[in-house]
Amino acid sequence: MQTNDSTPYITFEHLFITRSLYANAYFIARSTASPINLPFVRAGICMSLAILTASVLPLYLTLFSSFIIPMVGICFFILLTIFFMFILPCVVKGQGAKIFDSNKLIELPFTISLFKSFFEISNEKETIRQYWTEVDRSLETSDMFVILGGKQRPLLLIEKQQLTNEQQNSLSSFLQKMLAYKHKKIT
Amino acid sequence: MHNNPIVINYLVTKDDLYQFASAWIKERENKVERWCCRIIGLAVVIFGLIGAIFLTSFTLQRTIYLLLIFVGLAIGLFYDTLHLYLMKKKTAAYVNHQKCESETLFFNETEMQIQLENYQAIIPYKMLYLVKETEHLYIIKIGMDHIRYVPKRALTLQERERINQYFKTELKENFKREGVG
Repeated sequence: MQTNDSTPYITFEHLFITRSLYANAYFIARSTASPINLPFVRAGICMSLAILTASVLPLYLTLFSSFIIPMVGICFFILLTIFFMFILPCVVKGQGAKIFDSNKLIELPFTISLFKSFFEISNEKETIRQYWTEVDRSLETSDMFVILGGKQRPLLLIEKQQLTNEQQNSLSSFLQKMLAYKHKKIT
Repeated sequence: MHNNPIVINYLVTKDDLYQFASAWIKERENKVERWCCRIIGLAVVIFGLIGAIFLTSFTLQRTIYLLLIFVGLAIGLFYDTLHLYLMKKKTAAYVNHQKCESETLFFNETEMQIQLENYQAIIPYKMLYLVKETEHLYIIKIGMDHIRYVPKRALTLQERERINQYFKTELKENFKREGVG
């Protein structure tokens, strides 16, 4: 990389974040933190438990001539499956939207400059310098780049639509070089 | 009317971090979640008791119902027992993980200025989400996910009164006081 810390490698100007985009990014960030956070993984576990409980129903019925407990178990796990698959994603997105609404500084148009050892976000009211070592991970989805970690801006997102194809490619390769295994492409 | 801003320059101490982490964790506590746990726990205990007394005459099935009672107790009492211990551990982990840096803040009538090594901002009070005054700190929420704090030990009594006045005037109901006389 031929940059030093006085000249930015890339600068993107006039970027902005919308509420729905932020809510989606928040959901993606939360659900990709660990495989167990993925809705279909949680729902799959609950569904398996429901099937497992159903499989002991005949045995239970033979032993105790009652099926109340297994039926309660089956209903409980099915309800949990529905909750993890359909309700929780909406709740998490709602939390993301709430965070966006609460922080008026996120709404402001911003400029981001990427340097060799840090990146700088500046808007009308604030300037944030965040070192790459503070970044926990970065994600690249089909419509945005998400950089997670740091104290001042724990979730930074850049919408791909606001960048040219060339800019998207250079940002993607820069993040890959800079963050190596911390950078993940999600298709 | 004072025209000169209040300048606060202080070095964060472990005690400040501890006070902040405790206040922050207390605030993040979800009351709905706590009561849901208690209600679900109570429902499971009642179901277990009814099952054990009225619904069975088999020893093994009675054992299952008794186990359900224990599960119910564990769910219902989680927030009053294990949760407190986990929160203390979390606070200690936060305090040990943070750096004790020097911070400079300026407060004037309509806005505050933050000057840190990696963060500079001029934020009008009207853009703040919430400010809470506790016994030891001012917790300043720029947003739900962006929180700063000012230890009250870094301010004189007169400065605190002035800051309170600014917050009261600009933030109105978004300025809250908790545990302060």
